[in-house]
Amino acid sequence: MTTVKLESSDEKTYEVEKEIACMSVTIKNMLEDIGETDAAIPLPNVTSSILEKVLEYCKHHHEHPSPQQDEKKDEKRLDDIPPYDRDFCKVDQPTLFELILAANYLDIKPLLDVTCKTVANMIRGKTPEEIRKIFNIKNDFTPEEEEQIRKENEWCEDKGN
Amino acid sequence: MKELLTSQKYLLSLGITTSLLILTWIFKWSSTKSKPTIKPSVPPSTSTTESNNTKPSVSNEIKNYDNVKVQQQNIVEQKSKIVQKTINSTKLDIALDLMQFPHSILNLIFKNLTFRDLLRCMQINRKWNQTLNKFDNIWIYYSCVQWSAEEFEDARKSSGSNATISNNNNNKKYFKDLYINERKRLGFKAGRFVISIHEQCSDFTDKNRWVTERVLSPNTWWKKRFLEEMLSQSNGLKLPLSKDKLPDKLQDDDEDDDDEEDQSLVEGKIQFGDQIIGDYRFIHCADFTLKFKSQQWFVSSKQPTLFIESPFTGDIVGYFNFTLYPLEEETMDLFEKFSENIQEFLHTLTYQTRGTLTRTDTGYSLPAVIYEECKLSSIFGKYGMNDGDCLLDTDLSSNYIVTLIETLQKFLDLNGVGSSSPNGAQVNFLSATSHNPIRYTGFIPKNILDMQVGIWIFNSNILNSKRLFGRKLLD
Repeated sequence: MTTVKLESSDEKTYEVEKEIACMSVTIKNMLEDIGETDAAIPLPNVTSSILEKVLEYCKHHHEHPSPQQDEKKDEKRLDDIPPYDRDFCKVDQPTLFELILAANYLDIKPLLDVTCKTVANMIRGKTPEEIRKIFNIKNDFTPEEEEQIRKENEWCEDKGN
Repeated sequence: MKELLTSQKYLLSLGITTSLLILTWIFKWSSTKSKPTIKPSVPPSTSTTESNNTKPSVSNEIKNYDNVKVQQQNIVEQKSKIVQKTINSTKLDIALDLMQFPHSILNLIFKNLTFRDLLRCMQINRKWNQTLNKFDNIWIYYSCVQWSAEEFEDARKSSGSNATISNNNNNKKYFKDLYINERKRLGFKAGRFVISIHEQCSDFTDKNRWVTERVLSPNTWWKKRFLEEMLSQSNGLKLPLSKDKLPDKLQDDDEDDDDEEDQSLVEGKIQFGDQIIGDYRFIHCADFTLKFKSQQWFVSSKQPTLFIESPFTGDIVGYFNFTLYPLEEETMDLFEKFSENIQEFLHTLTYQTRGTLTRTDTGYSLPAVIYEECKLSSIFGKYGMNDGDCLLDTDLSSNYIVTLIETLQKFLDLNGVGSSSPNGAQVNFLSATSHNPIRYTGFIPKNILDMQVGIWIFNSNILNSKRLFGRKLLD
């Protein structure tokens, strides 16, 4: 069993199976570039807490590979998140966002998809006010601006036809 | 003795004072020698104050040294506080502002959402509005989800004349235009029934004329043909279009105002005599999908096993969506009054269109053309084929009649009673009859006449379906 060492931005080192680490295309490419090495691969954009979560996700999916899905079929499905992934994404918002950024940086497509779907689920079908509450965003529009934008976007709202 | 003691005390105190002074001097000297001068990075004002003390005392020097240490300690603490604060604030920004994400991530998120969600997100605050307004390419994706890519491309091309639009929201604009246009077309309340109109609808009128018409008016030819066929076959039936445009006036159209005509050839009334008994609307194939795609029955009707596609119907060219008021009334008064008219109308409709009639509230469907195993005895003879009513066509030159005769003759030949056998049977077509034209000459034994053969026929039982019409139409 070959292992590789990964170093988080806060200089913590993790020794993981190469196959698990290579679920990240970024790490895979790095390993291909530098060849066999004992030195830890620096991951300056990922903190130790997030790297631990990412590795936990990769380890699970390495041990429980999910069947290949028809991409086209699942394009617009938001309710198809597997139970493990759904529970995995039940984290506080900053962690979820950091996971997205880490998945993007490490190029782990399944993780990026599932975290983005989770965020999309938080937005889907919500009113602007509800979205503001969810993401703790301050409305800096003046009432006039708000009304103008609302009117501009009125065309899309379903009037029950 | 007293004086001696006093002088000794004096000398002692003098010695102590002197030694203290010497010690102080030595300390001062040694401290100056051994310790480098510390110049803390303090604000200019502080150093200015210090420089005013031209000759600082030893105690002041010590005090200053301690101050410097404290200040250094404070600076380190402040620095770490600032660093921590920066880290926290960065974390906070990321946590709270989705719009700081790279566009590739936003793209992934919003592809999982609808265009309505995106437009609602634009209303959240200025930052979201600005970011998502720049995010114009996502509208191509939404367009392809909503329509076909070709349709969107057509809209983009047709907007080519407005190439002066300088903002970045062109894709959004095209989407909006298409969407509003679609809403105008599909915002109607669907009628109770819908039937598909097929390409090979019955050919009582001149075939060649429709071939030309189809090229000249691709959007309207099938509507005009339908109206013409219906009116020629049904006594007393009127199908006035809205905007007072009557079908007979529409036959003289030319190519240039095809679009204008398409607008008028949309909806109308079903009328017998002076009494309006229903309303109708033509629906184009693409619009039919858009209008009914959310209906459960629409999804299930896409199942391939539901109906076998007939070779005598051809492609669907459009749909006729209608409501018959007498069938909607709870009381029977209006229905009884127009019962015969309704039967005639529905018979003509199903026969002419060769379509599948669907009840839009339940999705229950019946096809007008079916493949059925029929006894030979029920096919031949004056009253065979339900007195000729089950035939899809009565024109000898039609593909249907030619195929039917071939099928029957082949069946007889295979069973040894065909034209090649002695006194064998030959299938004939009798033109001059209002009854069944399918006849035979020669002899067919009874056991062969009891045999069944699979043929395509008009589903004359369609009007018997209480489930489809909600009430019994025929006695």
